[in-house]
Amino acid sequence: MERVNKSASILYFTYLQIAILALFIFVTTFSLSRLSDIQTTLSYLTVDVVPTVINGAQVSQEVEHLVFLTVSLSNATNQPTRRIITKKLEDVFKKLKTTARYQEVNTGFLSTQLTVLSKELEELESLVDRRLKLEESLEKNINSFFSAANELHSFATTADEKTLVTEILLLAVHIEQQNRIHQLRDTEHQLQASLEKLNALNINPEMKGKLQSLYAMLIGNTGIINQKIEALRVRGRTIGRGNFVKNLVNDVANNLNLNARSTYQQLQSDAKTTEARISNQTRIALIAGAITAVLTLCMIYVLHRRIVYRLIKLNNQVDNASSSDLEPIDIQGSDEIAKLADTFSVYLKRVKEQEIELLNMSLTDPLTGIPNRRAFDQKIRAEIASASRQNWPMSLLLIDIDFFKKYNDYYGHSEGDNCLISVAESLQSNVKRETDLCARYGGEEFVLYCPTLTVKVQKSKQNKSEMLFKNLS
Amino acid sequence: MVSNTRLLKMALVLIALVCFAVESKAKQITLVLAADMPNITDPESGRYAELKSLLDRYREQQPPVFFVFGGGSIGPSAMSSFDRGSHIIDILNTLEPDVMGVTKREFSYFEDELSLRAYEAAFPIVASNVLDKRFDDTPDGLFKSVIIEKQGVKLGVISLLNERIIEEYLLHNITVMNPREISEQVAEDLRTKGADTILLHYSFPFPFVPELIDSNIIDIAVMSDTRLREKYQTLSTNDQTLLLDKSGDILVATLEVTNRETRLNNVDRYSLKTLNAAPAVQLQVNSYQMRLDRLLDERIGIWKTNVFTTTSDVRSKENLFANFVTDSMRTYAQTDISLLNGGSIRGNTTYLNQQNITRRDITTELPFRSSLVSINLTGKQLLDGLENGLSQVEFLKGGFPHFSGMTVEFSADKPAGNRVLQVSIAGKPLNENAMYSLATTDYLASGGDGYLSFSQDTQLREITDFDVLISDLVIQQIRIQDGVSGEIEGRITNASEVQ
Repeated sequence: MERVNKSASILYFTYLQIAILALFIFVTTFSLSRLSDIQTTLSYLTVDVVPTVINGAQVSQEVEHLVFLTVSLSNATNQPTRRIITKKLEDVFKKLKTTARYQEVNTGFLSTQLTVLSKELEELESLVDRRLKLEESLEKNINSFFSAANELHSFATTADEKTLVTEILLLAVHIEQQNRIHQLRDTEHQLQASLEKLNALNINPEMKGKLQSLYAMLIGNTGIINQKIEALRVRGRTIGRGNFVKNLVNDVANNLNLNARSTYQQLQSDAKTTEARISNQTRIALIAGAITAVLTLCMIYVLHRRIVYRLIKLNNQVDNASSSDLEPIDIQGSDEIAKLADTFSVYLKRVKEQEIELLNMSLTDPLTGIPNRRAFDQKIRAEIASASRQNWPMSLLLIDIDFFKKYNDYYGHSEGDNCLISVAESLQSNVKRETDLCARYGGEEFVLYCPTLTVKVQKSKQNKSEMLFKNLS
Repeated sequence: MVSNTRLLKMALVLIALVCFAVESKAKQITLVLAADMPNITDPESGRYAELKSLLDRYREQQPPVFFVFGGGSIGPSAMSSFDRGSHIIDILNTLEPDVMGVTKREFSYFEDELSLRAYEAAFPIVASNVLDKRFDDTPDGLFKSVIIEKQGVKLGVISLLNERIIEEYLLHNITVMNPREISEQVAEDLRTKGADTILLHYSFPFPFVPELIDSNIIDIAVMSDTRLREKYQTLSTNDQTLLLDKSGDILVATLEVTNRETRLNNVDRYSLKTLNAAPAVQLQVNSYQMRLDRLLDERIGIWKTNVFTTTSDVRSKENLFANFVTDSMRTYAQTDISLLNGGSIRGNTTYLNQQNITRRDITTELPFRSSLVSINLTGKQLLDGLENGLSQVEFLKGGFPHFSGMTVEFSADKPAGNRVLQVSIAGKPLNENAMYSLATTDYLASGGDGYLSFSQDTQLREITDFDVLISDLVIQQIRIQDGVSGEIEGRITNASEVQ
């Protein structure tokens, strides 16, 4: 039971210390983990979102440029323009590919789009090339046709022939102006009719030859009419393709925007959750910190009262007790400090007792047990002082044992001692009043001090003493 | 005596005239009629190569062939959502139509895109009763009417539209003029210009058409609509009315044209899939398909359950795919509710559990380039919108509403405009005076498909345009969730069916 109480303070102290340490660790861990949360969000922001968004803006710019170039390409009217624009497109596209790297967030779809876009641009470019070449070739062919037709005209002799050739020429002029297939087909039909009519006339072989070549130039798969129709188709296709690519590019841009906006939305919601979490846990951390502070203060207070205060109290009490024995040492409790106080108390008591004993011993004759010379000297000084002050009488009897030495030699030291003891006892028995003192003055000398006693009385005392001695022997 | 001679002279002149009239020969022409071929990958209706081989065959023959294409093909289709129908024009250029008429589908990507297509086309596109408000004239590139002349025969062509296209396709820049008045006006104009025969093309069953034929204002009428039988119970026709009412069918008509009179001699109907494919055109079609594949065959996820997008599935009841789309819209826009019209979903397909989802699937389902917007509106406006959407559920109209964040109970038995029984949003009943945030398409927010209440009170409304296409949004969501899953949750219930 005692043992348990003894170690109570230690345990108490240890538990409190552990509790404080635990709280400290808890709060620190909390703060650290929240900080790491913030760090994660910030790094997400700096590594993922901001680059994506900025990048998105860059890409949008480049995409706009791309759109413009695409439209210019499909409208190119000559080869040098086409080449210049194609080169520019290649450059912009290359740039787009590298800057769009950041947008890979949505798993490779962008790279599919860009690959497709690149292919489409290639095909558009070759289509434009084809259109330009066709238009060039058509122009050339039309020019050669007209020179051939004029030649034919010079060959015509009859009025009918001349009329038909003119008809043919007029129809041919239409070709250049017509932009609808059905118109061209109708022209084709009319031309065919006219050419055949001309052929039906009796014309000379040379003219016939010329006519045939003219026919080939106009009608037939490689003829001007079909070329023009082909050119119209290719022109239409090019415009369509150009629009297609433009739309594709816009789709890429929109998808990038969608990506950026999703990332941004994601970040916003992440940030909101994190913010809520952080502020929630900051609150918890603050509360935990406050609780910790309060608990620590409590612990300090408790420690102070339980240990420090009591030790100080003990110290004071010991201090006081050692200078005076008025105040006892008393520390409440059942732990080490209380035990320490008890021990102190016991020791001090012993010391005090020993002090008294020692004092007594120093004032007592060891043999006889009555006060010794020291005691007498001490007392007489004080008595003389007070008697002279108070003016009262005092009597002093000096008693000497005669022939003591002979007695001692004859009967031995132990008998001598016994003699002294008996004398002392007898004298001591005469000391009736507390104020009187009987002391061993020297070896065989005794003194009897009686304050406030006159000689008369003293004489009676002396007689008594003689009687005593007589009794003794 | 003098009067007698005069009479005789007049008689002679008359006889001469009559003889002259009798003497003019009746000319034979062949009409090849095709329309409604928007999807080159469709095995029924996409067979342009086969059409070419038929055209080649007839063009080799003697009577001049007039190839009249009835339109209905610019959109919507997966490819067209990319190029707004350019590829159709390109293929048609190879087929060399003499003229193309328009149906509402030509306006799938709005007026200006159609004008662009007209510039790409090497043939005239006719839209007779449409006026661009901005220039007070026929839309740029289009023709009010056209005369095609082949071998001395002049064919005049008129093409009519119904004014409902403005509302259906949300066309702000055009007006549609009275079709009957215009037909009469244009026909007269064509006759003045010497048209021997006049062909009227239309895609809505105007009841006055047979009368126009009977009174010789026009000679031939061609109606093209492959959903003809589905949609209309009554259609007035007569002998000279030709119907292109079956997907993948074309008509070849032989006509005899005399002075101001046209007689329909014979009509042959061909199913394109029974014909051979012209290699060059097939190559062209294939190359488009290849280009499309490049873009669209990418796998984006997986169907985690059976999903149906047939017309009746999306226009009359709750639909899983529609739920997914509306959920995606609401998530992205972070609004109380979202709403989409069933007519936006065009795939008309069945997808099986565990089948891959490709980008193609989504662009086929959502080929219109509608973008996501959000608006704030009152409960009353919302209720009106719902009533509108449910008003023609029995006709499977495209306005049928699909939504997220809301449950609706209605009864189809009740009269249109009064069918909604109960609406609850986030567990609470709809409060007509409260404001709700709604995510929807720009089309619906502007009052498209009859949702006029959504476009009311524009000063009070804040419309947020997210600048993102619904299809792109859906694709993104599918990527994130690696597919489409869900079940019928009872978002919309038809009380009359429950019994």
